Amino acid sequence: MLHRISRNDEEAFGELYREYQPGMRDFFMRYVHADSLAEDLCQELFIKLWNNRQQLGRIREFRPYLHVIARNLALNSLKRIAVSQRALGELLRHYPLQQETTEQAVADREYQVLLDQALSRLPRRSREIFALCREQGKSYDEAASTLGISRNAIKNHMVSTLKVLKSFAEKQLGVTITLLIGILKFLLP
Amino acid sequence: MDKTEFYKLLIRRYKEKTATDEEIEVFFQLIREGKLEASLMAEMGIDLDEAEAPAPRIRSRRPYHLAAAAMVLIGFGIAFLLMNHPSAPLTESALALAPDDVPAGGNHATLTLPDGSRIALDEIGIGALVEEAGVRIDKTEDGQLVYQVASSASTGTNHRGEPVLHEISTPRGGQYQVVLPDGSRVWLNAGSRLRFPPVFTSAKREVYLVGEGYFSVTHNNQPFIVHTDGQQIGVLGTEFNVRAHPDEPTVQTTLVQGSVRVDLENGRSSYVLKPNQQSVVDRQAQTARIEAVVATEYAAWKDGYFTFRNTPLATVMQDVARWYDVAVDAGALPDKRLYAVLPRDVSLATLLEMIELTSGVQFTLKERRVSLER
Repeated sequence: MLHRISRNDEEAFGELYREYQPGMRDFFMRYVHADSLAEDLCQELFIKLWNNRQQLGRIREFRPYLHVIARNLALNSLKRIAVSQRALGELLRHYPLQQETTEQAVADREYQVLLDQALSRLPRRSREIFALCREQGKSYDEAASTLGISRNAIKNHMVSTLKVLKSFAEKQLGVTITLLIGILKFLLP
Repeated sequence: MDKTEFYKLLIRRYKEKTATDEEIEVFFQLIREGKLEASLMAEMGIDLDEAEAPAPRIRSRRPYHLAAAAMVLIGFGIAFLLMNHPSAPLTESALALAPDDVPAGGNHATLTLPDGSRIALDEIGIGALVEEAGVRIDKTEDGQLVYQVASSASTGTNHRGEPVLHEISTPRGGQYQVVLPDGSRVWLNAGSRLRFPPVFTSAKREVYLVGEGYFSVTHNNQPFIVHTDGQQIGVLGTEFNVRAHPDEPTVQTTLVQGSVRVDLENGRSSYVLKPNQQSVVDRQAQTARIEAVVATEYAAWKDGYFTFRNTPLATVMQDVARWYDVAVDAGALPDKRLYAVLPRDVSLATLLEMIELTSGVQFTLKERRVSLER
């Protein structure tokens, strides 16, 4: 299959997408919690794979290769979220509020001690940002512009990929509807 | 519970949506401080290995069915071993490598004592190593060496009253961490050397570095001085990275927190750095420039990844050569620059594939030599 993809076989790419997309999406969800952010990461992942399809034919082990890309995407995304008020807001909107009971607290005393230490070192400014996010969850569009995943970083790739993906989507409609919607989201003003 | 365990538990609670707001705050603050990378990478690695995985129906492009069957059996064997050692990191080095592939570097170093005896640190077990002249040296975990003053009789000098120095050196493909007797920590990157007294008895804490090291210096009133070829750095207590490879024309000092003073060897100029500033000193010309940087990126190597930001491909490949202990045909490299965060725990072939993705350059790896594909 990889060999076929490396020779621009869109159908084979569709197979690959069907095979791996759900697992990858689950993986991203565990770290970013918001559907919109996870979708975005997924798209970035598959666009990377498609754009670099020439190399797929030479890869000995696909899963480690896929995992390295996924891990880097997730890690970088968390770093961007950490410094973006809006993206953090988007994440928090999907993160359940914990009740103020101690039932859920970690039983381990040492954990609490370390946590309290870290809390006491938090700069005032980051506490403010956090409070803001929690109180007024910002929309994803706002988040996207700050996140930088979307428009600037990969727009060029998107444009060049769009044509191919469009015809591919027509053949594999069921699979790529989310992919297409995602792309339209980037390209429409 | 140590920091690593705390980080792991925090990440798990964040993932499972059981973290409180305060825990989430701490989670993102630690990410901002660059402290969570290693733990996150480990956790993500576990998730990815567990993920879905209905054996992908990807056909091998070569008909090596027997070999493939054998590999599956070996794979089960390895998986079985790993399951029985849950703490063993699941890295690619655990898997069989392709013939010309090269595994990632690891914790390797040699300790040289004043009497000239040498100890290969990765060949000995965890525990007390040496106790001499009132100083106790322990290998506390893999990759870490701890110095402790065991008695007040320790002088750190020889019978003539001259200070003695210990030396820890990493080969290419090795890294190590030392905790000095004052509690300061030094991470040594591949192909580096640190000389230091086993006890800091004089007015200054002076150490000598060749290569790259990350310093986390505990605060006390004895100034801490790092000597390298071409400059010296003076601090009281702070965190910074120093890169002073003999085969590179400049010495880079990058300040993460606190404050440091960089004095050029000519004794004429000195610079005070603020956090997220970097001094680049030309060893020969004895000139310096100060740049604004994201300091944690220069310290990322100690947490297990390479960070490149507009980094010339030649520099990238120098780092790669040092960490994988391979040769690189540097002369043939095109004048390209790279933006990437790449793991240091993958095999060289995997890493090169990642660099190919971002740079568009194609490499060939053969007999521990990386060259450009034509």
